[in-house]
Amino acid sequence: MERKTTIAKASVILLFFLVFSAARAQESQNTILNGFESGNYTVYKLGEKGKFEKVGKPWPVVITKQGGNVSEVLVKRSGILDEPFTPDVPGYPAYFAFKDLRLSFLNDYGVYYEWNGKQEATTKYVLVKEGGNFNLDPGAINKLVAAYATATFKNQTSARDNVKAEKAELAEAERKANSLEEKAVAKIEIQLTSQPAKVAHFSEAIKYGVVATLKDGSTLKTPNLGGKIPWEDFELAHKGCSNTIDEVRVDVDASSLTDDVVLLQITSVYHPSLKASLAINTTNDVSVQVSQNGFWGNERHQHMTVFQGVDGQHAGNGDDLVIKVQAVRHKKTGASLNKIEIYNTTKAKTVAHYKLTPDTPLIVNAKGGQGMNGSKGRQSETAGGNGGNGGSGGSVTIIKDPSVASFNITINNQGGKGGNGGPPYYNTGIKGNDGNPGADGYTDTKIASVNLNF
Amino acid sequence: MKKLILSMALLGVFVLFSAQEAHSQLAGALAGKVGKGKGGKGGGGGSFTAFNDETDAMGVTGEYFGLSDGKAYGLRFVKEEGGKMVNKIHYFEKKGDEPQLKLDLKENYYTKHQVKLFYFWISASASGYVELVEVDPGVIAQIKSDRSYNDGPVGLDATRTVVDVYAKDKASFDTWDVETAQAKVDMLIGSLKAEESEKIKKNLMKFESYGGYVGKIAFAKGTNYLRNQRENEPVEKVANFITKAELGSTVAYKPYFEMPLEVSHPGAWFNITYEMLGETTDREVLRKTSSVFSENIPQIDKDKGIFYFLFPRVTVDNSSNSADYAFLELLRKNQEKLKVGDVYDLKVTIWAYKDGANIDPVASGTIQLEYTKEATGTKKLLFDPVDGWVSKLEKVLD
Repeated sequence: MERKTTIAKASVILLFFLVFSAARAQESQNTILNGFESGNYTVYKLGEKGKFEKVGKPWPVVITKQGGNVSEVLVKRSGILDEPFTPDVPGYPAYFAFKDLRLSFLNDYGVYYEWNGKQEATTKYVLVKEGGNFNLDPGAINKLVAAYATATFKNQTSARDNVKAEKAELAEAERKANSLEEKAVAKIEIQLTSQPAKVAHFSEAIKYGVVATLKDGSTLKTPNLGGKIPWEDFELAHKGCSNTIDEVRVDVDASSLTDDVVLLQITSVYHPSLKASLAINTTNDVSVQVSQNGFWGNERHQHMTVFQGVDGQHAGNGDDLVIKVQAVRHKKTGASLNKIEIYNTTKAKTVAHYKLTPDTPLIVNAKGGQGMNGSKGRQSETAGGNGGNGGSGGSVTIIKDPSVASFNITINNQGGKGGNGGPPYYNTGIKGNDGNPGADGYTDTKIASVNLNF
Repeated sequence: MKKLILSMALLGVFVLFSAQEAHSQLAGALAGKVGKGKGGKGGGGGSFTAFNDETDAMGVTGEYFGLSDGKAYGLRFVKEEGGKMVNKIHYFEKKGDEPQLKLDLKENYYTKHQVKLFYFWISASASGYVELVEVDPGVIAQIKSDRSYNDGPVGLDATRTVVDVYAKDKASFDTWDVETAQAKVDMLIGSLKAEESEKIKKNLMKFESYGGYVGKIAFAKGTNYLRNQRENEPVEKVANFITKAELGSTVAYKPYFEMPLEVSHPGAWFNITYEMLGETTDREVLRKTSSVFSENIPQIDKDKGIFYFLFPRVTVDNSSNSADYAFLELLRKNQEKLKVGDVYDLKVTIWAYKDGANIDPVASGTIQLEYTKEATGTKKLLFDPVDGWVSKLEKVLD
């Protein structure tokens, strides 16, 4: 009976605090801290038994205010360690932060707690002001401070907007100071950060920046050249490469490299008559590998619905390909190039358009997949599962235009290995049959007139 | 047979007893005190007041009292031994000339930051590690860690837990309890970490990927091009980075941060936003909109202590059949605007996120995504009625 009365009393007290706290949830720490002063605070710490224990020595707390807002709460832990807590959102703080610890003041005490990603608080200490009172258990104070913090986060909208606006204002001032907007600009130029050794499909990025010369002779640069001109000051219209700031990469499809150059083009947003361009000749000398292999037996389920018993799945065949090659001259340097188109007849789609020098290796893989290994046999059977068959290599036809003097194309279209037979359930049984290897693909080179329109 | 079994059992007991006896010399020393609490065994009870008459350059030597058991212990700093510089601390809990433990000083912590940290490995396991850190003149914290053997003290990123405090003057325990000592140790380790971060960054800048992309996001056509097995060694080749890809194909990406998030934004975790064609999707916002997103968009709270994601993120990964639902939602929103043959800029931003809001961007990057012409390309990848990424999302959302 006595216990019930105690529980009822505790519930009433908790309810009172929750109601009181809910009312205070409208208030920021700035308002609540009007009732607090710097001084020595009585400290309760969470003890080993999960209950709060009073710490023998009070901790000094220094509350610093600036224009009605609290700018810092310095907790001198045990009177010897300085822990400076700063407001989360100046103007309407829900807590003060020091590293990943938080401090929120409620009623007549401060709660020193950890906060996790699930919006839960774990109180480590409670700092009670002189004449203050504290008598909650850890669970109750955790709930109380979490309720306060989450409610206050919702009320921070305008303070957060102010912080955002201040940040935006600073950013805008910085942008304007470095932008070409409202500045007298004589010219803009594109400058490479280093001269690329190779300019070809799959070559490394070409990194560039912009230098603007003002009419007074001074220069401004983009960040990658050590300046601060925002990239938003320019419209990009690069061709034959990606159209991105800082760095571009040569297009993989040669049909967009019509003039055998990578063309960087920029226009000033604030001075549209100011334009700059830079053409970089392609070198077409990075080796390329194209794979149109058949799937492996253990990937068969990704391609079709299969029933998986103890036998391994059969692998897929390599795709059939037609490779057309035509000789051309580099439109700027006159160097010999081969235009190469790879058409996948199995999938009825063009796989690649490349331009490569005759010496640059092109490796085309159309191998059959490897059969899946058989599984261990069933108890009811004497043999293990059979291995799946390997896929056949794809048939590849190279059609070489009479204009082509040489090329460097390697075709890999071998049949895939058969999967290994699985072991039997009993040692006395026999191993399953190995799968048959796939047949090698057929490779043919024909000489015929080819007209590639890219 | 019975005799054999009996002999084996006796031998086993003997081996066990011998091992315990051998270990007890150390276990009875400092390591044995870990978690022992008051009233536990472990020797002690002697007086080491004579140690207070000795002086050393470190100012460590003296008689100490344990917070947990109140017993007296002796610590002596030994700079030289047999003509060689050793810089060790000798720990005594029994009378005699031989210390029960000899702990090494981590010298550069002391020479650079005056942090006096001594360590000893009793065994290679985490429980066999003993560390003493001076938190105040005459006050030393005993620490255990969560790491197994390392050549030297455990790393700065290890969890160090103060388990006991020793003080020359028992009155120091009025202020130096375990929690306060823990706070001071965290501060000391924090100052060492700050310096280490700068050192790590200086080294990272030598890597082509980090040096060229700090503050940015690099993209590649598979996670294998961006994956690292080791922290602070971004050995990925920038030649494998891409700036353009087929829309709907696999695109992995990796951000490189100026500083680890726990240094630049303590208490925050990562959020990611995707922007394309004027639409923006936000992982943290989406998580709160439906159970589908709530289930499939988890918080990104790993990798806060390092300079990049150890395992890259993906927009879509067709090989592992995974995707970022926030990216898929962006495509779902934009699907009416997408046209065959067009190229779209996708901007990805990684944010420091706290208290329900993006605080600051910590890395961003843009990639161009092309809606390929072939029916087997973008259209199949995104809008195939069975396997298309957007179609799959529509089935659960619409």
